[in-house]
Amino acid sequence: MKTLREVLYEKHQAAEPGLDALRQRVIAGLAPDRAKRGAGEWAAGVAALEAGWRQRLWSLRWHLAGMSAAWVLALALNLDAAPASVRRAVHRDAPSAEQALAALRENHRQIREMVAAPGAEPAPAPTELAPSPRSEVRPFTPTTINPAKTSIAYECA
Amino acid sequence: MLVVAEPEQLPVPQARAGEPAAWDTLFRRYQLPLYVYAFELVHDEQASRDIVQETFLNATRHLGGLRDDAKFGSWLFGIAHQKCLQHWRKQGREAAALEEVAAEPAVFEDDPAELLIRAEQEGAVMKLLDRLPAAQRSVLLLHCVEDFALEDIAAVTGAALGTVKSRLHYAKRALRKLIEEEAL
Repeated sequence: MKTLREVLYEKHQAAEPGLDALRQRVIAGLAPDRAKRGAGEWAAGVAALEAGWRQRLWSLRWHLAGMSAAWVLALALNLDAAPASVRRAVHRDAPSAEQALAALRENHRQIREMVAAPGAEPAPAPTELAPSPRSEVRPFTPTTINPAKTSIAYECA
Repeated sequence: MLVVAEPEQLPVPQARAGEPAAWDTLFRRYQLPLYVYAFELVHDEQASRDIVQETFLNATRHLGGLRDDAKFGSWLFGIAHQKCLQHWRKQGREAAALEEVAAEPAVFEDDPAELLIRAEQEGAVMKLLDRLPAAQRSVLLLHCVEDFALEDIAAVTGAALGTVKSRLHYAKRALRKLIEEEAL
């Protein structure tokens, strides 16, 4: 008399050698697997990041396509907004170089007239200082004091 | 000759530390029971070996997730059970047959008496085992091959405890009836 367990084990006893080989293969794969695991963690992390980005972009593909299409459309409309006839008309109405130069001169003249308006005091002529020779050393004496001016001027005699 | 170690003697902590010798001891202990369980469910020699190998590989990768070392056996059978379900799904068979929750009464007459089979009855018992519904067969195998407690069987198969009780009850009753008929 046998139990069901004994009957089953006897029935499958022939599979034991194959299972032994299988077990040894798995055990043999344990050590390299542990060594690889550390080195592979970085690569796995990078791969996971790449996969994540790819997945995110892929999920947004229709939005991105729609946005791109909208930008292309906006660009096309912007280029087409000024038709050729209008651009030609604008170009035709533009002043020539001589006209622009004459207008500029007229503008300068008007500015000069406004600066030299009647009633305004003429600007005093700048006093010309005679250049003193550098090689000659002279005593330092104050010579000219102009009370109209707030500052005291000193001159090398 | 099968060496059956007590659960508390199994070197699970050492295996968790990555000692190949510990894994060898564990796999040697469970290789035949796992194969028997897988074969009697899928009835394919090569597929059963593949299931055992995948179970071992998964165990080496996920042993860290096992909280109670004393439950190593049922944890390992749980992996194998899932592999059997995957095999059935690949084969296009209805994996739900193993997961079915039959409308069976949750009655269980715990009969401590071991079913004893005479040599001339062995063939008939094996045939009957094959004819049992997969869910009942699974429970009976786990009970007879590894002598798992009902709670452990429920954990392995993912079924409710009452369902496990009733499945085991019907499977044993059918087996006992056959043995009695054969004895007459």
